[in-house]
This record gives sequence, structure tokens and C-alpha cells, in this order.
Amino acid sequence: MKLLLVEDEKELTSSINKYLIKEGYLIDSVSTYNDARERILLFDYDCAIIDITLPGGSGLDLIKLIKEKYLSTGIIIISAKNSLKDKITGLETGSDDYLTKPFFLSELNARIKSILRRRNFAGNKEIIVGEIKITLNDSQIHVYDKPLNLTKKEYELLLYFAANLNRVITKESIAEHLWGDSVDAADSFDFIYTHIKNLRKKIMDLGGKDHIRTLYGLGYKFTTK
Amino acid sequence: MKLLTKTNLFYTFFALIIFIIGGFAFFFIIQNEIYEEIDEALVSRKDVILKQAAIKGEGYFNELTKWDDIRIIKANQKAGETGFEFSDTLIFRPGEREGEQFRRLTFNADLGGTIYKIDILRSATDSDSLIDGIALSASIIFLLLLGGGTILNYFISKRIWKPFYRVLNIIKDYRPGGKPVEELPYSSISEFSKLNQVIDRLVTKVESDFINLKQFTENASHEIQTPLAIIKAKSELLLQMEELDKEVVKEIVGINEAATRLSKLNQALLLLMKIDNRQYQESDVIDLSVLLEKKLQRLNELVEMKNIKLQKNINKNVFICMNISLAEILLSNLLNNSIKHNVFGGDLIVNLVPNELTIKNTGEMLNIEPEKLFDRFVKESTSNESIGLGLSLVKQICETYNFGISYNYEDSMHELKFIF
Repeated sequence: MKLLLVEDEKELTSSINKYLIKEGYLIDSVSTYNDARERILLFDYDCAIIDITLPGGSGLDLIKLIKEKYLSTGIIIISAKNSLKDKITGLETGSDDYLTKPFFLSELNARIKSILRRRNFAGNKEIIVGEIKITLNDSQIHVYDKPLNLTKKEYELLLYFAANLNRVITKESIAEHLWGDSVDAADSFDFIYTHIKNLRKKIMDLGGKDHIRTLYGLGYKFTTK
Repeated sequence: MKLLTKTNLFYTFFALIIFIIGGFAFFFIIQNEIYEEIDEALVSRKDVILKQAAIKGEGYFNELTKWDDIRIIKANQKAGETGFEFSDTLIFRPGEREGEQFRRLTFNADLGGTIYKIDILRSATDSDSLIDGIALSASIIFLLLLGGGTILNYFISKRIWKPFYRVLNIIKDYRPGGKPVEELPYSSISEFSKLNQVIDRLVTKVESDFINLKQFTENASHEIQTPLAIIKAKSELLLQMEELDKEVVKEIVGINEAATRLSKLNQALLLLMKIDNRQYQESDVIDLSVLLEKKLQRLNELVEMKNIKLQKNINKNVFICMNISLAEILLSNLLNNSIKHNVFGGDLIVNLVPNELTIKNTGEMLNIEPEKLFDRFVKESTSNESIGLGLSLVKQICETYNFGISYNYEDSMHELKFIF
């Protein structure tokens, strides 16, 4: 999988690179509009992560260029602007997703995977994590080929874990991923624990392994080792 | 009071004073002239009488008695006194109720050795009717001038002030960042054209300052998000490292949480400023019933987790006209607060009827004054997650649309009533 990262903030680029490189992607990072343009004209990418405000031009123009050239490139905008208007403009221009800065690297990773899956029509829509098989088309999960019934939130949680295997995921990032802005109504992230507990129990009831490691005060890690 | 009314009032008042003073002055001058005339006539008559008396002597007495306007009183003054004096008198004629005003000249005349005191009378009635005449005509002229003047003044003023009122009308609704000001009407009056220039200059200045400030704040706000994104990304990467010391993890989590709070604070402040600047202009008719149900649905899990008993009485088809983003922010903040500050197993009552939304939730009494509840950075809970801007946002939105919001605490329940 080939990714293009267009972000003028070098430190942010380096962090994103470090996180994503472990997923086995080939990442091209550029920091200016012109460099990005050149890359887009030269290569086809599976997914592009683009900041809107760039030295030398607007990320929106890059998106248009990508869409003209290679339609099946997935696009994620990363921007500091969080107004509804900016998001709508971004999505209308042809981006698949809009992520507001600051964001969790685990969230960016999950979104890239989700887009790559959606873009990859030919590929099989299955995720296999050890003994767990997730069929995306019909949202079916099997543990050792035995069907696993999950609630909607548990299913989303499992997908989020599957996207960030063997990574430390903070409670905060899980809460934001599953509940969005509604997390503001919670006085702590402890409520996540219930979902984790249920998910773990359901998998283990079907003979699966205990994949979820609790990192006290921090978050969780879904391990396959 | 309108400018025209005020000028007209001043004009009328001034005209009245002028006419009263002028009327009196006119009257006294005319009266004086008439009296002088009468007095002159009386003096020349006296001279004639004295001359005749010197010639005719005692025989003239009989001749004098024939005259209506002469009265002779025998006097005992000594001869040679030639003084005379004027006075006013009223004479009643038989059958007439009102006396007639007369001017009298009294002098002594020597008629053949006997001194007589002689009064010569001359009617002064003419001057009385003159006064009436003057008063009447003055009043008529006054009324005519007043009426005509007022009408004339009104029309002239209206015509002259017209460009002023048009300018006033145009700039009345001006709001920085709002609709651009239409071109001010041309006026040949130099004061007005100067006023237009000044307004033009001010509006341009205000507009550019407003845009600059808006852009600066927005840019600053966005620029802050980028370093925050870096802090968060770096701390997340740090957490991925193997074999991290527990203490180190704790510190990194602390850094991450602080960055999140700063970012939320920044976003909330930017939002407050945008609402303040009325940057949320577009309005839609929103089905509040649907939106409220949707929001409650999303919060359902949190409600259940806290074992909160939710009672809702939501009327269908309650509409509100406002910006959709602001409506969402408003409801989110109100509902989030009612859950966040609720107690385990508490109540949450949501009532929506046309023009009124009431949200009640169980909770401990505030230890701040209720009036300060909507102030910025007033925090009730000590929870780190709270940034203390939620209700300020609510208030700001309400002020923008002239909606009412009130707080009440009764029977361990916080009640926020929102009237729109």
C-alpha cells in the first residue's frame, strides 16, 4: 500500500510516519504544495493524507488533482479547522474523511484502514486476527468458526482494536472513537471498561484467547502474540 | 423627540416671545405717538384760548362755555400763573355704561381779571381701539406666521434633512462583518457630504479591523491546534514504547490530557468568539423534537451507565429557526451537563413543548451563586475534564437569538428552562 502524506509541520509528519510505517505502508511525505503536486502527477497512491493549509497553495486543489488523475485514491483531510463548513467543503471536494487536529494516531490509522478497505473493491473484505475472523460485508464475526454476537459498540471496538493491533490505545481515544462528542457528557472514561470486559468475555467464551491487556490508568492493548 | 419636532418647537416658542414683546412695543410706540398728537392739539388750542382771552377779556367766558370740550372752573389762583398739566380721565355719558377715555389739559386763564381754571378735553378713544386693533392684527399675523412658518419649515427641513435620514437608515442596521453598507446618498449640503465621508471612512476602518481581528483570532486559534497535535502525537508515540516505567506512563498521560484540554478550551473560545461576531448567519428551520430525540439517543448509553431515570415528554413538530451548528451545540451542552452533573441513579426530565424546553436533573446544590452559573470559566465541578465554558456558550447562543434561559434549583433538581 502506497500512501502520500502532505503536511507542512515536520514534527507532525515524523510522528505520523513513525506510527504508520509499522503497518507496512510505503509512505511519501512532502511538506509543500508544489512537491505534493509533483508527486501526485508522478505516482498513484492508495491513500493520501492532506493538510488544507499548505505553503504554496491549498490542499483542496491537490484533492481535485488526485481525483482527476486516479479516482480510487482514498483521501483523508487533516486540518486544524473544525467548523461544519470546512468539513463539508472538504468532503464535497472529494475527500473521504476529515480529521480535526489534534487527533490520535490510532484514530488516523483506523480511518486509513477503513478507507483502504472501502477502496479495495477486488480484495476480500475480511479481517483475520488470530482465531478471530471479521467479515465486513455482513458484520459477522467468527471465533474458531463459531459465530460471535456483539453489540454495535463492541463490534466497533473490535474493529478499532483490529486496526491498531499490538498498539497502546488510550481510553480517551477509544471513547472519542466510539462516542464522538458525546464523551463530553461523561465524567470519566471508566464506562469503556464495561465494553472491554464484555468483549473480552464473549471472545473467551467461544474459546478465544485473552487478547486485551489492560494498562492501568492509560488504556488497552490488543495483542496477538 | 425628533429633530424636526424639536426645531419647530424652538421656532414656535421663539416666535411667540418675539410677537409678545413686539406687540407691546408696537402698541406703546403707537400710543405714544397718538398722545403726542393729542397733546400738541391741546396745547395749540390752549394757546388760541389764551390769545383770545387776552383780547376779548370777560366777554370771552360766555363764548367758551358753548364748547363741548371745554370746562371752566372758577379758580382762586393768583394771576400770572401760566403752568399747565396733562391728565387722563374717564367721562360717562348718560345712557352709556362704559366711560370714554379722554385726554385733559388743565391751565389757568385770566378772563378780565378773574382767574379761571380751564380743562380742555379731547377723546382718546381712538387709541383704545387702536390697541385692540394692534393686538388683533398682531395675533393674526402671529398665527399666520406660526402656521405658515411651521408648515414651510417642516417641508424645507424635511427636504433638507432627507439625505440625513436616509444615511441614518442605511447605517442603522450596520454590523461589522454583516451585510456591506450600501452607497450613501449624495448630498449637496456640505455638512452632510462631510458626514457621509466620515461614515464611509469609519465603516471601512471598522470593517477592515473586524476582518483582521477575526482572521487573527482564527489563525492564532488554528495555529495553536498544530503544536497541540504534535504534543499529542508525540506522547502517543512515547506510549507505544516497550518496557515503559509506570511513573513515566503517568507523566505522559498527564501531558496528553493537558493537551486535550487546551485544545478543547481553544476550540470553545474560538466558538464563543465566532458567535459573538455573529459568524453563524445562516438560519434554518429545525425540527427541535427530532434533533432532541437524536441527541438523547446518542447519550442513551451514558444515561443507562449512570443508572439515570430518563423521563421525556417531547412534543412532536416543535420548530425553531436558528443555525444548525448552534442548535446542536446548544442541545449538546445542555444535555451533557445534565448527565455529567447528575448523580448515580438520579433523575433526568426533558420536556419539550412549543417555545419551551425544560431540562431537569438531580444534582447537588451549587456552591457558586446561580447568577454566575453562565459566566465564563465558572466551574462547579472540580473535574479536570470540565473547561467551564459550556453554559457560557449556551448563554451566548441564547443572546444571539434573543432566547431566554433561566436556572432554578428545587427539590435537589437543577432546572434549566430555555424559552424560544
